[in-house]
Amino acid sequence: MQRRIIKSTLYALAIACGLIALNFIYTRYLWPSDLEKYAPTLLELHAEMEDMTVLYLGDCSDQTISGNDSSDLAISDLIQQQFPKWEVAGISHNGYHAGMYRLLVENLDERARGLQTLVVTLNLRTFSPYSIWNDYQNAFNQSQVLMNPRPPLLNRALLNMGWYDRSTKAESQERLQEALESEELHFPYPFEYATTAAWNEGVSKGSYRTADGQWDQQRIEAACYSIKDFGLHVTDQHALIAELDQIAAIAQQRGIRLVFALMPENMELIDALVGPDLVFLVDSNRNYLTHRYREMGVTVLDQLELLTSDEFIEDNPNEHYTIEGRRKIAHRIARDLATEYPWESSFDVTPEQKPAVSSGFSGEGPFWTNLNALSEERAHSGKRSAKLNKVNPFSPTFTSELPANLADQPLQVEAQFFSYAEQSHESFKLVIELEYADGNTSWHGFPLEQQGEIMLNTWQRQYISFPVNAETGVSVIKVYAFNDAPTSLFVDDLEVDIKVVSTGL
Amino acid sequence: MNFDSIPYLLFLGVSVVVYWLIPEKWRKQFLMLCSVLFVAYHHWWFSLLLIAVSLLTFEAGMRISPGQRASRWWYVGSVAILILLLAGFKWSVQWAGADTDFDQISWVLPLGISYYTFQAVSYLTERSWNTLPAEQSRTRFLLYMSFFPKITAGPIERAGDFLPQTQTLQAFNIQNIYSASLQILWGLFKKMVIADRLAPWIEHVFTAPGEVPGSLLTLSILLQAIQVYANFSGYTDIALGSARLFGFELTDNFNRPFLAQNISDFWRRWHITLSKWVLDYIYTPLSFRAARFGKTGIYLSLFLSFIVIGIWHGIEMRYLYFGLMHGTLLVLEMNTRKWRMWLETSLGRAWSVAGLVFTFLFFSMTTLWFFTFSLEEFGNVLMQCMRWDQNTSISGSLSNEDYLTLFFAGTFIPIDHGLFKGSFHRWVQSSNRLTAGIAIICLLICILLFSGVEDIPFIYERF
Repeated sequence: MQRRIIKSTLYALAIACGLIALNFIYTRYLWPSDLEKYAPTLLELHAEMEDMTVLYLGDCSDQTISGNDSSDLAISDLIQQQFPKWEVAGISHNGYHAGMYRLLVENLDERARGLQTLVVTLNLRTFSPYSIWNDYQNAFNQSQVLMNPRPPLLNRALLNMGWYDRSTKAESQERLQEALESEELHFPYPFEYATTAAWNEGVSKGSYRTADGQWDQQRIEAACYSIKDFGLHVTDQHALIAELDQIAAIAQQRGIRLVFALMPENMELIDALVGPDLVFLVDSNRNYLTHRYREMGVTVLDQLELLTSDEFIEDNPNEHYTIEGRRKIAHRIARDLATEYPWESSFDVTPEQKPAVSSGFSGEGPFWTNLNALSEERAHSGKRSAKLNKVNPFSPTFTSELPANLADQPLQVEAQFFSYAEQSHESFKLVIELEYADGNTSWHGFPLEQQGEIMLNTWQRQYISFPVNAETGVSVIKVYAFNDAPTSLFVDDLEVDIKVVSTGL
Repeated sequence: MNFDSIPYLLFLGVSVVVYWLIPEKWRKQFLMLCSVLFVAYHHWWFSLLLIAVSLLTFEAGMRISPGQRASRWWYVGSVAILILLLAGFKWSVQWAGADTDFDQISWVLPLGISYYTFQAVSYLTERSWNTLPAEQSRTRFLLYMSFFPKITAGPIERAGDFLPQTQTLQAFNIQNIYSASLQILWGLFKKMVIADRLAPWIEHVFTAPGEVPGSLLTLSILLQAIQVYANFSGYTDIALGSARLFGFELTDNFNRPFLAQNISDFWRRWHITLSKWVLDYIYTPLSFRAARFGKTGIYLSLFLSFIVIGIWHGIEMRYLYFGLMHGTLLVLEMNTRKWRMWLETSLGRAWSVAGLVFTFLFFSMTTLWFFTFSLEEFGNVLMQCMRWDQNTSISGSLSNEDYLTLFFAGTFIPIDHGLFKGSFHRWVQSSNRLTAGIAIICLLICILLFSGVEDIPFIYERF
């Protein structure tokens, strides 16, 4: 009997050791590629964790979705511009909601000891069943398995065996319909429809007509989408409230300042499409969220009505903002951060200003000059970046012939980009080249090593700001990265803004 | 409830434990209940339909008594109802436009209807031939029809093989449990590591075949044959292993099909229970009657048999083409038997290898019908394969993950057909403990670390 017990114990120990070893091998060699495919945001979080001071968690509202935007800088990038000494890590993904943010927050480990502020976007649309039962849900449920803070090998095994909620399209539709039908509407005045489903149904038979008396189908659809997106009461019982509560609890436990940034909605359009009843619901949900979390000691930035209609990209109510809109939001969030940490900020609280010239290059749309160095070897975003070395020392070049109204004004050139290198070298530089009206040229090189320690084998954000004096008669400004060393420097997502100093900043 | 999911493995585990713990007299009823619940889990009315079909078949079976006039009507009537029912549901897939969407198929087509309908027809036909006694117990018959390890995608079990096993249930045998677990493990490996890794590759390539190099497309056509085999035989292994956990032996559907040297040999090794069903209940009776027309009669019988095999997969033109292509090659093989034998004697091993390669290529080409939807699309894919000048190299299109998938797919058939001789559990049981232990650990590691992650259904579940 005793021998049997010893034998069984030895077997159990051997199995446990085997599993631990396997978990180590998986975590070390295979997990990153699984995360890249199924939970890329967690991989981003791991990459950013050690250096970040501010973590910004966002959804599609963080990025631009329009090819016509003058800049594709994300809100988190724009916040970073205001805090050059800090690392503002922006992690965003289309369709993310509080449940996904909670998992990311749960994955913050001791490497994130420098994290001071956590900004979590609150997008009202993510609370709606229409948003929950969308095409992303199966993929998100799959991600959640891998993101759960458990031994990665166990997560992989559960993923292999399909241990997550999977719905077919038909099932999702059925659940959505059930949710819309069970969403009872309460107004302080008599209202025609008892549920969101009934309201949607009523409006779908709508009354929108064009000038020639035809049905305006587009408008009806937009109104129905709005009702399904915003026609609900967010209450204590909502699943996402539990998720937000958990985020608040984790932040409190770890001593991280938590900011819930309630994202702007196109209230004018909601009012025009559906009317004051839906505006009332949006407003009451805003009040619920702000009161609930302010009482819990969380900073809630109410930006619901921050933007005007022309600062939204599309003609139906959602949270896709133009660069002007994103700048305003970033400014609002940065102002809050600057109030909290004024000694760290390069931020002027009062002015809010658009750059006079703004351009970005991600390696994907070749609209800059000097594209010899483009490479598909690696990229920070998209497929390509610029690979600079002895053979091709110049990156694609930003060139701006200054308009006459800027020629005699003091300017600030702000450039930011992402760099990647396997070895550091003193010849890694960002160059600002100024051509003067009299035909002279001056070059201003900014060695990256002097900007701070170069991190190897990872994409690193670089930020350089350079004043251009009003009296110098500059007519053309060029910005590019340079490296003539044998070791390669990769450069991607180069963004340049030229701002007029006299009007602010 | 996919066989490679945690809910199924939990369901199976609990059922097995309870089955062996309860008194023997309740076991059949318990298994029947489990089977009905298993079907109802997918949709409650699927189980009602299954029960209705089973009861109809049971009652008809009781009333069929050879030599009586009414008996013939019972046979013809019940078989007609069964076939119309099956055809109706298969048509409804087309009608609902669900033929391209597995999710939709699983809503429209009752789980396992093709398999249990063929079982029912087989039972009724055997009854009409008087080669099988009428089953007297509804419970046993319902268990034969609904036994959950085989309901999803077969094997199409004969009543003569299964019903006797329900009369004298096997006693608990730990060796049986061990062997069944090994078979399930190997089935999981085939499905999760081979088929599920290949599935996204195949889907990616066949979504836009014009955009991949011809060489990669050709390789993908070969790989999809391996995927179909790994998927279906993986399912079958899990089904057979699950059944053996309860002490039931089901008929194997495969016998190393890629060792077949010609297409008739292939059909003796691939989806054996279907081809045997068609042989016994379509081809043999037809060819017997058509023999008076000479070779033409035999060929027509053969064509008709393969048309049945084709449309059994679905009432669609593509499956008809699939059947016709196989039927045509079989007729050709029948006509060339003499000189093929002469070549075999003259060329020896080289002829065998050529036959093996040709059969594999032919099968790979015809399984393309599982992934293409029209003759034009099928032709385009094949034409695209010929355009080798367009491509530079395959290597540029493949990632490290793809190479790993290729490694698994490339080593799988030699190991399965060669080393294991198509049966992992028998190989393990005949090996020494160290070899067996290493093999099991390797298999577990592969399943844990290298399984495909996407939710891929069993291909034959939709047929």
